[in-house]
Amino acid sequence: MMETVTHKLTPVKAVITDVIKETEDTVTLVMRVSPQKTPEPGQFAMLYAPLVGESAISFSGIRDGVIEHTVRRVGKVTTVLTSLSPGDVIGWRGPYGKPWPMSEARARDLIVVAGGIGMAPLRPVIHKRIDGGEAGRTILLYGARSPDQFLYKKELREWQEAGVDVRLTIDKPHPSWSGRTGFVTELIPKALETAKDPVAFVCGPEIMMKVAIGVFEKSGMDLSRVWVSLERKMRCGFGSCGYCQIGPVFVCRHGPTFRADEVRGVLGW
Amino acid sequence: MIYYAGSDFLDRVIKKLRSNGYVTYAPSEWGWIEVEGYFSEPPTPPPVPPKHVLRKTPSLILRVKGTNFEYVEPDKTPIALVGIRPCDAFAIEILRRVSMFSPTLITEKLNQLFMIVEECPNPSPTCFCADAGTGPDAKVGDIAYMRLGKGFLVRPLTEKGKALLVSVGIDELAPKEALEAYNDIINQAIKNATITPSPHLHADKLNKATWEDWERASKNCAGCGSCSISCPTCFCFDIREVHEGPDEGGRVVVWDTCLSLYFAAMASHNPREKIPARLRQFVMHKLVWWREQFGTTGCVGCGRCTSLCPFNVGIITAVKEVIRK
Repeated sequence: MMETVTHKLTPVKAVITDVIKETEDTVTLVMRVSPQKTPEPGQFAMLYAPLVGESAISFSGIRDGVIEHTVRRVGKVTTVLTSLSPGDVIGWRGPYGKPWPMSEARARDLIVVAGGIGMAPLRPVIHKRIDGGEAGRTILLYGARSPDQFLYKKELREWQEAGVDVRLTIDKPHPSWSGRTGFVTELIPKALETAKDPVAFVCGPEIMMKVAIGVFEKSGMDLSRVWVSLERKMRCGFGSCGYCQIGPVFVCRHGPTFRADEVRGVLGW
Repeated sequence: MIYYAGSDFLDRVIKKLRSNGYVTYAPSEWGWIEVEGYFSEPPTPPPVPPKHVLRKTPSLILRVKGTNFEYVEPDKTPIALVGIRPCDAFAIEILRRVSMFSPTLITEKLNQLFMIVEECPNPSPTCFCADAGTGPDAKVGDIAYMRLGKGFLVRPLTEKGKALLVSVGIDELAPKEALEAYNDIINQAIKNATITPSPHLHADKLNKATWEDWERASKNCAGCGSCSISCPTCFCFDIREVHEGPDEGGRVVVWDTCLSLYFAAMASHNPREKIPARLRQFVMHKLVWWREQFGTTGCVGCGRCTSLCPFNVGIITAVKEVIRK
């Protein structure tokens, strides 16, 4: 007999060991989950604020047996999650979903395109590329609305020093910003000029990913080499509740990472 | 083999099932009721699909005390559905198929489920089981029967069903005249259990339908969700919190509907904010995407989504409107 829904929906405990404030409304929760889990970049977990509710949150860090989730305050559940302190306990279940196809990018140049909170599920990709001493180059194109909206500010410098080509942009000019302005998708053509045989991972608001796919296509990139990560409301995370369906696709099981040429058919882009 | 059983057929099988540990339910105008013996002929179809008796929701799945989470064992009492209609029995088999992809709210009930199917001599005007290939004669189940005069024509469909009939001593083969009468009734019922245009025959047109087509189809839809709550194959569920104190309570699952505004709504956006998009989700899932997901249709042709719709929409009317050009 297969597992029951009830069994699969029972969370384990996650102890918060650190809370890092990223922006005014976003924190990174560092936690210890027992028994220890080994998620892959691009997967997600269901975080349970007891008696408030659950949210599907991607992994933003999975180094050294420590799990991190970066959460933005947008609703009831995330209001609780962003107010947690070290020592607090929440419910946790996972990991779920299809990871970023890291092996497709092995020994190739990788263009990472992130918009806003979309940087969170891509951070473990950057970590893995650095830790693995990857032969291919990693180019990070990262856009935020304003300078204070960038996540992982300290790390961005470390990534640069570790050999990642970090290119930041903000949507509109800002007094405290002397770097690039404009949408992150505008950085794609130039990145493609220098990239050899590249693969691309994209995550951000849906409209940004749609535009990015268009830019990659226009620049002559084979869309079977571009992946995006979709967001949908989820209740279970493993294909039972039916919430995250788009056409025949269950985002939680068939995704959340999808090949761009496949996502086009599914979303009618 | 088709057997003839006297007027005490239902009494005999129900009593036997109960003595074997099954809780026996039969459909009625008011939902599924526990029965201990004979019951009158159920409606075609009964208003409440069997999923609601196999998992009554809200149903507790987790107890929460502070930050302690306690697993709640799901109820595994063996259930026998007696008098289940062929369309609903087929729906159970469809959900068994879905359970192979991921468990549904009724998965734990399926191993110890007994189905005695009441075949349909008089399909309703909104029945299209013959188009769907699910009725009006039973295609699945353990035993099928039809009421004929004061007696019953009974056929075992599984070994389990055959064993039950043997155990209650039903072994009288049906006379030739009874079989002829049965065939006539079923043949007539098949003619009545079709709809034009048949919702199952227009996948191509549905795939090509435009936003305007769906607006036209949904102009009377209020998004109330009675179609999917009354649908025997709809498996979507929500998980909600229940509170019994400041830091005590639990989580419950409830059958849910993609017709509701909040179903797909996220903090960032709602991909199906407008009603045409939500009706399209329901209809396309049943008739087109289900096949890609699970290799069967998601619509058994029970017609409840139309007959129970306060505004007469449902799959029958929606498909008719969408494909009308």
